Amino acid sequence: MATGTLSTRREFLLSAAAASAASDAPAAEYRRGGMVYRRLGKTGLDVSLLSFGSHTDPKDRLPAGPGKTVLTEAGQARRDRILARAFDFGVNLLDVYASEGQWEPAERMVRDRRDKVLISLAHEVTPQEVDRAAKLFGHVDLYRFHTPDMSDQVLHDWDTLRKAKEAGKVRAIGIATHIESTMTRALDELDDLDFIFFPYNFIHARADYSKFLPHAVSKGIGLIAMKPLASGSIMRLDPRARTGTAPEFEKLQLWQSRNRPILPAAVAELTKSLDRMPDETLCMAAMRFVYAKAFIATAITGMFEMQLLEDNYKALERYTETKPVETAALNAARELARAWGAQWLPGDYQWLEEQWRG
Amino acid sequence: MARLILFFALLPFTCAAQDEQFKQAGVCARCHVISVVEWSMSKHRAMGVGCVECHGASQGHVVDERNNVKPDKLPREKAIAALCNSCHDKPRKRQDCQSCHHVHALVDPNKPAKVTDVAAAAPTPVRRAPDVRGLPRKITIAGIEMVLVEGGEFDMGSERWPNARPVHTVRLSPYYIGVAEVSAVQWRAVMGTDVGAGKDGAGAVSNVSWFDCQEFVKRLNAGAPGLGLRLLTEEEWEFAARRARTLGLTQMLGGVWEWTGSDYRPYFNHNAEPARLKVLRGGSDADTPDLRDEAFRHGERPDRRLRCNGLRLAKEVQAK
Repeated sequence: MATGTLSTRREFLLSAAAASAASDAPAAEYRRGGMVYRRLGKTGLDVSLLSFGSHTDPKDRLPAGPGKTVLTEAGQARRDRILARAFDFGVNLLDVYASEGQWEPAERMVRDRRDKVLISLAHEVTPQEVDRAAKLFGHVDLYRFHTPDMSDQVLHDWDTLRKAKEAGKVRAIGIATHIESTMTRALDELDDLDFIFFPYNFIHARADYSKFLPHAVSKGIGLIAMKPLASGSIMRLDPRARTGTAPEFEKLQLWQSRNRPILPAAVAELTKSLDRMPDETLCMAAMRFVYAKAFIATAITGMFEMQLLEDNYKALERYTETKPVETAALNAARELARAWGAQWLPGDYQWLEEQWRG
Repeated sequence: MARLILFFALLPFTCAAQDEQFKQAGVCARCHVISVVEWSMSKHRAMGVGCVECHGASQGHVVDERNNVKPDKLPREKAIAALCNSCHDKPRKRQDCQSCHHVHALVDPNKPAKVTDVAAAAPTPVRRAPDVRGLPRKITIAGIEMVLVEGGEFDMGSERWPNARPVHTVRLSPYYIGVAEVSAVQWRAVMGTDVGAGKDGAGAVSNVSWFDCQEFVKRLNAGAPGLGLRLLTEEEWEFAARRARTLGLTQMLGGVWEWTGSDYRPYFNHNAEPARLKVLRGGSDADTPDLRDEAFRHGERPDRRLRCNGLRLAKEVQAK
């Protein structure tokens, strides 16, 4: 039962919070303006609860060589406007992909506020590339690589990152992974691990993270929730979502498709719950589900539209707890997504459905 | 003014003093000059009570340039008396010891300093370096060419790297050091196995763990009792690296990272838990040039085999 799962999570949250409180960690959370800031593990860095994700809007991309893209001039200007607004809201963590041509534009955007904005990179791990990044940005605040497993190459790459940290080029090092066994192994095998990017949203907050999360919390690892909106898919479960707020929205809008799942009870429950929260979207409830977890330092998400940024910010501006009506909506949406199977996710993430689902 | 005169009066003594307390206090004196000079004339100094006894190891404070981290213990007001009473069991006339005893110098702050106070700060004699006369400058053991390093004092560490701070004085006895990194050929001759090496196998051995290196050394020593081969300590490594050209050493910087026998922990970490990592030094050809630095330190698990990690040998010297 979905409700039962949530109850279990709530219990876990309490135990995780207790474990956190028992450690020597400094004050975990404070609010400045409307933004909430939390300490990223033991790094000493305070990060805004909402972070700006690295992905650029696919419809604005132009090919720029093998595996690389850049944004069109208009697309870059739009992204810069959204980013500037995010900084106004107090967002202080900016994730940047070199493969999407964003290093130089990001450097230009943060040049005058480098002491206030944390730069997070996921990039090729060679001494030369880390050095190049450190020279461009002054230093790199968070450097990570993505890995599905813990191969020998991972250990070599990790060694390179540790040296960069020892040299003061990088302040915090970590990995991004979708696989729980890799997360758990990383805690034991990667010395000086500061943070982990892992998928966390109301559908994929899998119950069996119970192996990973308590261990990570007890070790003071900074936990960064990626895909809090499941690559934009959660938006597609919301019948009131505005068109154009997600890539390929029109094509993928589940409610409007002819293949609507036959789950009248879940549909009715979701509709009823959403009607009871007229000022909120399903996405806001989904973000608040993540914000409410004390062990999450920040939720990082790509924001291609100003409206999405404002919604994500609004979801934490006054409070971060999930209300019962939101929980009911999330439970109904979860049932709906479950009925769709992997198809509710974008094609390149469908393989993860089985591993993610709680 | 009186303090200033006292400082200059004591300066020659403090510079000449070589004992362990002064070395330890020397770290503190990098910022707290007056306090250390005051302490140096106290009976605490003569009795072997140093900064650490009253202020704790304070390793976080030592490495924190911005002074955000305070010393482990920084007693004030009545806490000073409590600290004094933890060693001095005579009944106190007053609750505030500091009204009659300067907190560092211990003399009465209301009276002028006497010559006898200064005499209390007289340094202990300088230890003499072991005599290495008559020892061959170069030797070859199991095909490994080694050169004599005569030892001495040097400033270890660097302000450039966070984990190489603070710069501190280290004194070393003589030792022999391998002119070159252990080659893959030499490794194969002893261990009978091929591990990472250059194209022709003549390059430095790599892809070896710290435990592998210990086994290598053990087998070499087993071949000739009393040989005294071992890994360098990181102090020995850095001392030699700073004299590499004079000593004729090759690839101290670059080549492969060289395992040392030292635990990887911050300098002056007196209360550290057992270290899980061992120190590697020297950088490799794969690294950016800035990491190939005499003072740069890297730590790695002793059981881990990585492409760029090799070793260089040292040998004990029995000085006359």
